[in-house]
Amino acid sequence: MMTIEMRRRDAAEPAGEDASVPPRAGRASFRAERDALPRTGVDVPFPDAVRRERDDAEWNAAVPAAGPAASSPPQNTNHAQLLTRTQPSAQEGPMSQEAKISVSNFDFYYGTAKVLHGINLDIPDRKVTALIGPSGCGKSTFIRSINRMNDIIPDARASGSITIDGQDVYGGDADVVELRRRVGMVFQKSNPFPKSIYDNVAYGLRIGGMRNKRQLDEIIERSLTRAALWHEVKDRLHASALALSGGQQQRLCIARALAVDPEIVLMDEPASALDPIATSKIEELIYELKDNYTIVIVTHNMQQAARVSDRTAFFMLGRLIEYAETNEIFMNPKEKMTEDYVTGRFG
Amino acid sequence: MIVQRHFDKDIDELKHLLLRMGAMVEDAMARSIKALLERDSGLAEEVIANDDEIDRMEVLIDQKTIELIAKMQPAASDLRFVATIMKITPELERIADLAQDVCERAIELNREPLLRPLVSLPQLAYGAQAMVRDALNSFVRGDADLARRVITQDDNVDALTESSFRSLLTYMLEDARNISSAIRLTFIGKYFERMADGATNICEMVVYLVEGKMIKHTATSAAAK
Repeated sequence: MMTIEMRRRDAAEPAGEDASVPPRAGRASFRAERDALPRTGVDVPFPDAVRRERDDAEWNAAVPAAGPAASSPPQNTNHAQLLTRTQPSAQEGPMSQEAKISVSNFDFYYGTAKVLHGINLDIPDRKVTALIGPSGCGKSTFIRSINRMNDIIPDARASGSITIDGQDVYGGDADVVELRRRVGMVFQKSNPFPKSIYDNVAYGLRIGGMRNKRQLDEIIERSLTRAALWHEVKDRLHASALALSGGQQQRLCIARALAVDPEIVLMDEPASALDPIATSKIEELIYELKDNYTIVIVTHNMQQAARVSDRTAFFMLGRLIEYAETNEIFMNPKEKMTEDYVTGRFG
Repeated sequence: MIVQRHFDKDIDELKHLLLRMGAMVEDAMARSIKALLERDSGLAEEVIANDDEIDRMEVLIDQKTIELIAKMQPAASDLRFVATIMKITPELERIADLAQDVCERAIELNREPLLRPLVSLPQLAYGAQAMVRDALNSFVRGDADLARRVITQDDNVDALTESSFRSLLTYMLEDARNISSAIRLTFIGKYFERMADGATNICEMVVYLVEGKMIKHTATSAAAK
């Protein structure tokens, strides 16, 4: 630690305190130092208690019936304890906007293991919503639930509801094939078929019964253009997709997803296996796609979430801890756990 | 699990540097008041000479802050902390410059006969000094309530500045030979008033640091007054 002669008269005492403070205790040592200072004003603990009081007041005002949420807030960083708090609701102030995807009381189980606990959130139309959280927090399970990709896992089971434009995804009359057309998906590792670039993009269309060559050409050009890949591949559409670079393969997968004209695109860590240049291309692409599509993206890269998304949902241990405008999450999160995660103190 | 962050060390270091700069500024302010009230030109010269060190401190803190942003991309409370440091540092530097100005005027005053009494000027100086001290305290403790109270005191300082000006005006009207000194003292009153404004700006940033609310130029800021 830097030793600095404290010249402030009323701050002179704590200089000798350094010995009693454990070395490299980070913020804690500052708290101790601050607390040792003589106080002239009213004592207000910094800053958690201040924030908690305010939050609880706001929370009570926003949700009058929320009994458990107002229970005395924990003062320490015991995350397990914090998890017992009632989760905040998704809609508040500027957050309320017509939802494309609406999730309520959604639980998910792998066998007997409950991996998602009562998730409630509304994902707005034509915006980018980022899901962040430490590994194993359930964000991938959650995103895969939206287009029922988890159906193929034995013993997997869901309860609660996810609706898209008011239609229940898990309803008895739901058409899973149609659902997956409306809700496209891009994975962490690009997975082009061992076919030509053209055939990759045409695949979904042909399965859907499209045979008209001119129509196919048109949609393929449009999809590749939207995926910002057209100019790089237009002269070799019939070359193998596997000859493309990793970033190009990923954009090809995005083009393939766009070809069937989805309304929603789910992206599960779409850039985590890419170099920074390819990553920035994908991010630019996401930014442009949101004019036409509702995008939900899972990312481990918090700066990426901050850059591309309009809203951010923070998950931990299968629970939705906080969901707010991205600016709020990264500048002034309400929950201590979110704060610890986005500042890299936790996770 | 809780991660020990290398970042905390950088933040602590920045905070130490800012506290040190704050101590230097408070010191300059206290000595400028003493030099003025006790007509001590030697002390005034010292304050003027020390200002370079405060300027160097400002440059150092700026450098460290920019490095931290480049390397760490701070978020949430870290981001607000870094933003606060960047806004507070120039305020402190300006307060030190004003203390230096007080000393320059004090030296000039010492070449002229003493104009007595100085009426509300010492009160004004001590008021501004208290505001700067409490502003720094509110930062150190992360005490937004104290910061808000400091902001409300700015009006008292403004009133004292006005009252000091009126008395000095009376001296000038009474005897034209007083004008030179009275004008210098009017300047000094304005310098202290500006220092109090600096303290107010620091306090507004402290509220932002603690609560994430920008109260600058808002109804909240006016209400706090």
